[in-house]
Formats: sequence, structure tokens, C-alpha cells
Amino acid sequence: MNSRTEQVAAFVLHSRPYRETSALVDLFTLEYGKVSVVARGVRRPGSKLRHTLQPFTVLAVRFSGQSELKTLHQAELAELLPTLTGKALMCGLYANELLERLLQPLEATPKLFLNYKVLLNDLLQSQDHEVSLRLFEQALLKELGSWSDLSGCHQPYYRYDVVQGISAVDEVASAHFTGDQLRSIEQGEYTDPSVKKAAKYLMRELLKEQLGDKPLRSRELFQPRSKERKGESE
Amino acid sequence: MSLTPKLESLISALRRLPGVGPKTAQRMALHLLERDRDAAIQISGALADAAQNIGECEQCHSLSEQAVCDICSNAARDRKTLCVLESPIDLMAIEQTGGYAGLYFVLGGHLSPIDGVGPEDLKIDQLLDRVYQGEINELVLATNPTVEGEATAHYIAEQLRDVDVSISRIAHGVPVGGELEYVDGGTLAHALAGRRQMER
Repeated sequence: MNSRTEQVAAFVLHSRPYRETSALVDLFTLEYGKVSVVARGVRRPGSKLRHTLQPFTVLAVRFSGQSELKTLHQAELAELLPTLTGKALMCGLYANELLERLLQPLEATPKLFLNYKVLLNDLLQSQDHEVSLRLFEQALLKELGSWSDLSGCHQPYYRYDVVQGISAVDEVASAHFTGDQLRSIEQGEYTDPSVKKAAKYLMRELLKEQLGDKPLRSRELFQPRSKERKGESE
Repeated sequence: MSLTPKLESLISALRRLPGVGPKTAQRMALHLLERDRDAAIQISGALADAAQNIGECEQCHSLSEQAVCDICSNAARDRKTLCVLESPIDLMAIEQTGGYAGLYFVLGGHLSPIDGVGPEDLKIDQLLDRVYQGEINELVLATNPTVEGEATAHYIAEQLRDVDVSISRIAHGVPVGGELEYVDGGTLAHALAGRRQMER
């Protein structure tokens, strides 16, 4: 990729100011996976790119460079998606933080790119964001190679721990999931509310293992400021 | 010419300014020392004075030399409307328009999980406390129209879901005197989605 690449489809994951007028932008591209680029002059007043380089829209970008940090040459809107707002926006930021933290630079993950697109579409259209997020987390874990097939879970009870992973147990007391729940999760069948709860726990534990000690900051956006504080001030 | 230790430390101090690289810092230092020592003394005095005596207004958290800034202590302003901003620069921009007569609140940034900025790192608790005191009727969320600014506005609105206060968000749209042809697609879509009924 030393000469100028052709146009590739990309989403902006995150951008941070760089020097006086430039920005360092992390892109999630179809062909090259996560790519960091320098967008020169993007923070100048009147720069058109500034409006284009926003998260959650499909862009067509060109960049080049030999090192891991590329130079952005062009970015155009490929498809104008309606803007995410409210809770859907928070979920989008959560997905971006996951990708930012867990993807290896310059490793193509075309399937996950499509999963991400589907997630954004679902966030725009459906009210139940929980299921969309679970499906995306599952796709991400598969991509990272830390998802084991659950369709053979025919025992009644299972539990999860870091050392053994998912294993069958005899008593209900020490179980985290039932076999039925795990098989439903594998199939993406979320009609039963208990499956949602089980999936949330499972994904959280599996992701925790990938993320290490540093927790995800975007989870804080879903937690209300504590009510005791409100009491104090009154 | 080899630099004296004091000159070197001056240059490295100047380099901490935004947009100043090693060459510019060197030029600034030599200019001040060779051509304009009075200015050098004036600048150093003003800097020391500002750094020591300019603090934060305890009500709006903007820059202020008194405990409560001039805007917050001005009895002529509308004390029931509070405009929430990311930084003091935004406050200056709105003040310059002269079109807003309410009070301000400066958060000190926006929520950005990837950069590690959460609700704890902004003045959100202080803002909520201010609203709980009950003097504010309307909260104008004027954080930037970026993804992070939008998330910050949504987060604040969500925390005040059960509180009796009207919450508004600044409009996004086509700039005054602008031509649709040159407006970017995202802004245009926003402008269309947020269209207003014409008065007849």
C-alpha cells in the first residue's frame, strides 16, 4: 500500500485534534480494517472535510503512506445516513469504543464491517437496541476468535469462568445459563427476555477478557448519576 | 551560536504554546531579547498576573477574576435561562452576538469515551445541582453539533428526565447568507429534518 490507494469504504471511529489545524482520524475500512490517518488542515475554518469526517456515515476515502499512520487525501460521503440521536447515539459510541479498543490495525475484517453497518441501520430503525448490540458483540467476538460455537450445549445448566470458559454444571445454584439459553444466543433468537439477560452477561464477561483491566468508558453513558447526590443537594 | 541555559529554557517554555514549534520559539525569544525587552517584561508580568489571579466563576465555571463573574452577578440578566456550553470560548462567541440575555454554564469539555472523558470529568454534577435548586426554567443545551457534543446534550437531558425544567437544543442548519449548493450534505439533512412552520 505504498502508492495511493483506490477509493475504499470507511467509517470514522474517532478523531482527535492534531497540531494546529489537523486531526488524527481512526477509520474502520472495508478493505484494510482499522486504519489511522492524518487529515491535514481539517480543522481550518471552512474546511469541507470537517463536516464529512463524522462518525456513523459511510465515506469513500483515499489515503496513502508506508508507515502505520497514513495520510488522508480525500473523503466523500458515500451514503447519507440519518444522524443517530439519543440512546441510539450512545449505543453507536459504545460500538465505536469496542472497535477502537479491540481491532488490530490494518487487519481486514470485511464481515465485521458489514455487521457494523447492519448495527447502525438497526440502531436507526428499531427501538430495541439491546438485541442489535448483542448480535454485533457476538460478530466481533467471532472475528477476534474468542467465540466458541454454542449449538452443542444440550446439558441443562452451564456456567462461565475465565479459566474454564463455558462448562456444564450439575446444580442450578452455580449455573449462569441454561443450555436452551446458550443455544438461543448462538442462533440469535432473542424472543425470550431471559435469553437477553443471559446474553448480556455472557458478552460482558467475554469482552472483559479481551479488554483487560481498562473498562469501557462508554458504559458510563448508560448509567444515571446517583440519586443520593440529588438528595444531598435538596 | 550555542544557546545559554536561560535562553534555552525560555525557548522550551515558549514551545508549550499551541502552534509554536522550535523555530518560531527561537525567533520569539530572540526578538524579545534583542529588540523589545520592554515587551518581554510586560508579557512576563501579564502572564504571571493572569496565571495567579484568574480563576473560575463558582457559578458558571467560566474564567473569572472574582468568585462570581460579571455575567453571573448581573441582576439585569434573565436568571431563569441557563445556556450550557463546552468551553469559555463558546461563551465569548455567544456573548459577542449580544442576542442572549440569560446565564451560562461551562462544562469544561464534552463526553468522549474513547478519549477517556466521562461524566465525572466534566462539571455535570454541578450543573445538575444547579438545576435541582429550582431557579432555572429553561436549559439551553449549546454543546457543539458534533457526535460528542450531541452525546453530552443527550446525557444531560436524560439525567433531568424527571425534573420540571424545559430543555432545548440549539438548532443546526444552513448558515445565514449561505447558499444551499455549498452546504455539506449532513448539515442540509439536519436543516431539512429540523424545518420550521412559516408564520403567515
